[in-house]
Amino acid sequence: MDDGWRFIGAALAVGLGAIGTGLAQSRIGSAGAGTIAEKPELLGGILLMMALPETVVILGFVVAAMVLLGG
Amino acid sequence: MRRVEIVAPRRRVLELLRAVHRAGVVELVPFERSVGPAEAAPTPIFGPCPDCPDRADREAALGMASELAGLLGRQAAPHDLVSRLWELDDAALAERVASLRPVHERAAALTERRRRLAAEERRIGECRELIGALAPVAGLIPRLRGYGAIAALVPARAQALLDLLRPELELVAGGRSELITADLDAQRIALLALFPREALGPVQELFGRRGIAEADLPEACAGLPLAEALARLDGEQSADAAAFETAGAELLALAEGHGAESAALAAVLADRFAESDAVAGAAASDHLVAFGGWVPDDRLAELRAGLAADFGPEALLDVRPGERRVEEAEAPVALRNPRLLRPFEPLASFLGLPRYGSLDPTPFLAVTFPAFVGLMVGDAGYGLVMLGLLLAVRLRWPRSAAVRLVVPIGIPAAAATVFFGVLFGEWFGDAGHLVFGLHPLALDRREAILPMLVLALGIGIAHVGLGLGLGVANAIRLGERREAAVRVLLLTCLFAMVALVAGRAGGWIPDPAGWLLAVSLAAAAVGLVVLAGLAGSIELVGIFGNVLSYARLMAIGLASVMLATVANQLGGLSGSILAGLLVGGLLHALNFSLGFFDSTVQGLRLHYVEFFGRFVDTGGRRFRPFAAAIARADGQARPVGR
Repeated sequence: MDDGWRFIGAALAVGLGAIGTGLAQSRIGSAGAGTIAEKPELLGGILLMMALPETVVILGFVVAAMVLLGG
Repeated sequence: MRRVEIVAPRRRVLELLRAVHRAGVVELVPFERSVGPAEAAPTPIFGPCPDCPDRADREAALGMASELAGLLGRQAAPHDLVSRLWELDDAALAERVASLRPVHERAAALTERRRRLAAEERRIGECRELIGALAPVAGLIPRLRGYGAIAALVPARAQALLDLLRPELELVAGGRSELITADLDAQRIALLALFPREALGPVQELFGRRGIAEADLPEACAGLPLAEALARLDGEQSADAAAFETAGAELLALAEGHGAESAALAAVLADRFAESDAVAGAAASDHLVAFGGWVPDDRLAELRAGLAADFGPEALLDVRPGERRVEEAEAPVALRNPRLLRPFEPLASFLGLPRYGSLDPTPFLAVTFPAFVGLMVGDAGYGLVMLGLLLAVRLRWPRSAAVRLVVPIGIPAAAATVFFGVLFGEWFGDAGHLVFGLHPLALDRREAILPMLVLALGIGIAHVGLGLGLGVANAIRLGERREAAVRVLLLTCLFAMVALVAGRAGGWIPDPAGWLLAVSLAAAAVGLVVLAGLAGSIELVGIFGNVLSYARLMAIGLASVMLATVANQLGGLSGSILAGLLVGGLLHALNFSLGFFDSTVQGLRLHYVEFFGRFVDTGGRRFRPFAAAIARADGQARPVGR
């Protein structure tokens, strides 16, 4: 039972983080696509901005690793 | 970077300018910024220089030479030819340009002819398609005396328009019309309208009203049956293609004979044109002329020696005493890096050039960026494939600007990938182990999840700590003591926290030392809030967030190795060697592309956000030396110095 809760906790940590990242990236992506259509030279900057919210899922991953490996 | 004034006799203004242009180490600044404030000299001795050579003549010559170079395919101008032409005066250059005028006329005529022939060939091609589509249907209709026809192409999405057109055509043709259509392809429908010849006007008006453009058939086909027209069009198309090739061959011969000369002439004339503009920005008195500009410290001696050799005591190079305030506000920034590190400069200044006088992040990025990519991808097989691809691309397109930009960065990253791949024992995932029994030299990323996570966070602590250390050095260089103190406190907090957590977890810190660290951490945190207010506490939290962000080094690597392992397993499941290779190969190709792309973006992100954010202060203006084509070819215009 304990293991089950740990697995669920780890899955929530990564899953919710991934959903949050996805939501943020969808907004940045749509705004970025519009920006690149007008100014293609900003592609690099937009790609970088797309990568910024991934920290959220990475932090979720760290929490999941701590939950799974800690026990 | 030093602010200089170069003064010489006014009669030698053009000579002086050409010497400065040839040296390619001075960024000229406009006249009004090159003299002191108006109150210092109520009656200015220096005014705008009136000795500007005829700009219009130079512009016309440059236009002709550039256009000719463009018509002939703009070949790279050979260095020795540029050097020879550069020594010619304006009259000799004008003679050269005049001698190329017949070539220009012929090249322009040939280019125009090729353009017309290409357009004609396209038109004939369309007609052939149209007639080819309609011929089978139209061939069934008996030839009718007194009848005319209009052919047209309409988009397939306009099918509804044809349904409207049919009754309208019947109406204007008095019920004696026929509308034949045939699908040309997925996007177009061919259309042929037959009607009594006297209804031609109303039918054309109807087509115009409905926005249907008649097919523009060549006159030679007028009145011919469709099959004959098709044969005639074939003949015309072949003749046009042959004429196109002939014109192309003649143009190529002209390019071989005069392409290099026209390109070199265009480069030299562009320099002369730039000199005309520069003279307009000079300051002149009755007898003297003065140019102002910025010169990198380490090129000053070279400029001084060059001027002394060309002008002797007649030219004076006056170096203004360094004024930090003026320099910071106005001086351009030139990055100075060894040849191997220079390809990383565009990446390092991607978010903006560092402020004048601050540290250049290029050397740090040049070391850690390839290492991060290598650590994330971490597969020796992928690394070798990437090395092979980069070398092949370098050999295939040696002159391409994109290749020159990417290859010098990609090769160290691919080499680092091979290195980490050997350490992790990954050769296309676990294929190396399965086929050749290769084992990891250090650790297996699929198993050693915790050690990899600790390693990634350790790298994060070291990288962010280095960034803070550089931030302290940068703030001291720029004389920003408060900023330096904030970074010292952040650094203290980071290492105190790390030592405390690691020490307590490992049990190797005795209680008194632990308390000492905790007190240091608390004192540093209070100091931060006192010095920087709320921003200080936010930055403190941000530092730990930054360190945790390095967990992506491990997470992306883990995803990559797992996908590679899945690729091998799926390939093995297929039961056939060929299918297995295909499935495994496709998945590996996907993982290879994803792995390198994602690692590049994430590696850059770690630098720009987590590392540069601690010490790079952007806002610099790029050093743009007034450099002639000849100086650029010699590599003298390379912006160096600070």
